[in-house]
Amino acid sequence: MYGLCDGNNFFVSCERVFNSSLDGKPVIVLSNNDGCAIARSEEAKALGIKMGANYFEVEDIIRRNNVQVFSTNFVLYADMSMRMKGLLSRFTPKLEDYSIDEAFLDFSGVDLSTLNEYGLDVVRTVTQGTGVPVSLGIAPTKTLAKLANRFAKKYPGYQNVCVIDTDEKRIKALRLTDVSDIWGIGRRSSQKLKDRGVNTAYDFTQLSRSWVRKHMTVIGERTWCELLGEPCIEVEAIAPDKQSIMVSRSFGKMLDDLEVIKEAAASYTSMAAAKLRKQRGCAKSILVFLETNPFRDDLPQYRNHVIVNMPVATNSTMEIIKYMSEGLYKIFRTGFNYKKVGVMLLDIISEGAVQGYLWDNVDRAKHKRLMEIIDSTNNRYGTNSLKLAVLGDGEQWKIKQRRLSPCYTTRTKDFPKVK
Amino acid sequence: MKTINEQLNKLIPIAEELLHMEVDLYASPVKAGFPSEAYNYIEDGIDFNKLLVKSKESTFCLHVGGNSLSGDGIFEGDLLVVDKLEEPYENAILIFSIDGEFTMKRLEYRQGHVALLSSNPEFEPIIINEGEELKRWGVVKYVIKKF
Repeated sequence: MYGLCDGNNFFVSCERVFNSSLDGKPVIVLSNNDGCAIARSEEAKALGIKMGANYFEVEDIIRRNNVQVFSTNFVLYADMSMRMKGLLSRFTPKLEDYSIDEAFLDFSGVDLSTLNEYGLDVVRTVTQGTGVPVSLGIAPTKTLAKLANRFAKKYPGYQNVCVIDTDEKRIKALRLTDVSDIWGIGRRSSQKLKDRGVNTAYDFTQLSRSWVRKHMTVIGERTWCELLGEPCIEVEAIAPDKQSIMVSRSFGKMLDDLEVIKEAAASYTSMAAAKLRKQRGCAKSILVFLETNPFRDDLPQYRNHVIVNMPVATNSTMEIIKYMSEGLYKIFRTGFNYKKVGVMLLDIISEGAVQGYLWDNVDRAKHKRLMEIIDSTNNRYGTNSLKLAVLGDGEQWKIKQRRLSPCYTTRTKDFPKVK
Repeated sequence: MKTINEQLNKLIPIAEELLHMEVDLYASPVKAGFPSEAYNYIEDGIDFNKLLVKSKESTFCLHVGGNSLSGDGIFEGDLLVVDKLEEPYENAILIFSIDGEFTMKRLEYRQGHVALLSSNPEFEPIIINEGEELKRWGVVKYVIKKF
């Protein structure tokens, strides 16, 4: 049996752990640049604020109902996510870290008759240990576990745990699930199915296997099998190392100054390089891209990218920034208002597999030592405590996060105060 | 003054050298001859995480911002190590979150209500009547203070 455990309205719940005055009130968390709602409390959902709703569209509802609004506090949510996954891994030898607020668990060792009890213990432990309420769906396949999780949340009687362990329960759940809510079936496929009169997950399982394969490829067929109770998707315990690492952001306001844009790009490069070193990789090339705001059709538009090959694969921030800058200078054109810049590290190989270069005049050992110092300092004192001067202070380009909560769990000065 | 500066200038290169020397605590400093038997008995250093944290995932730090537990020697500026998973034991100091504020108290069950007690005579008990919600946030495990 497999479990899918996720945090209820995770980002909102993280804020509530440290601020109980938010309990019972409508709360939303906004995306980067405070653009749109990416997490909503139940109270906010009830007010009709949709997932992904643009802040300006719902500003009126927010004001009239005193909705509490937060910027995305990545540091806090990532730390709470680690805590949640850590507690979950006490209950299974095999955990798949599926997203920031959800994980698949392999329950193959657990006695079927005690599974519900076991599930309740999982939920109790994580909810009490982190303060973030979680829900757990348990079923013979991952796709069904995902479906069971929806029921665990929807019906309070389940106490946040729903187990699909008989055919009867499975069929009942399938009948109650809209085809667009099946994990692995995208919007276009579900529209196609609905056009054919396939409305529920149960209807979908009644289609012939060959029809599904023909019209929805092997991916659709896999989902079809999983809904019938036949496991096809394994729990993947170890996330594979990334083959490419991308960091890009929109600016807080539009920019036309190359030096300021370079500061932002250098900052993203430095984040990407830190990730690269964490997985002990080196990149052979870097892609830089730059674009104007496609939604402002009243302004001249420009977008371009370039790939710069580096003579020796590296993970030194200084070296990568040098090549990134070369690339940026190549694609930058004056006379445009830019909205976004980004970098992508490509051709990643492991540190040990780096091949030298005859005319290499970079002191690699020295770079490595410096990077180690930067990484360990930033791990201890917070991102960008120690950084290269080229990164600047971000005044000009940083994303807008006006409603950021404190980093309650990781920064000494932000620890909550108790009286 | 001049002589002091001369002396300092002589010292600076030595200090520089010291700064850049790599010190390996665990390797034997003996370059020749027999290494001491003691080097076979090196133990790990003191790890305060191990000492103070039983359940890493459910442990949080809180700053003390008031003197309601002065009777326990807990004062403003101290740091609390709080475990949310720990079950409260008799006489435990608990953290509650009331109206958006954290408070540290002892819990006393009385007839018809519970009381949240301070250990500072200047603070009155907070009475929680039946039907009122009270959620325990965590249990205080350690107090860290700087002298």
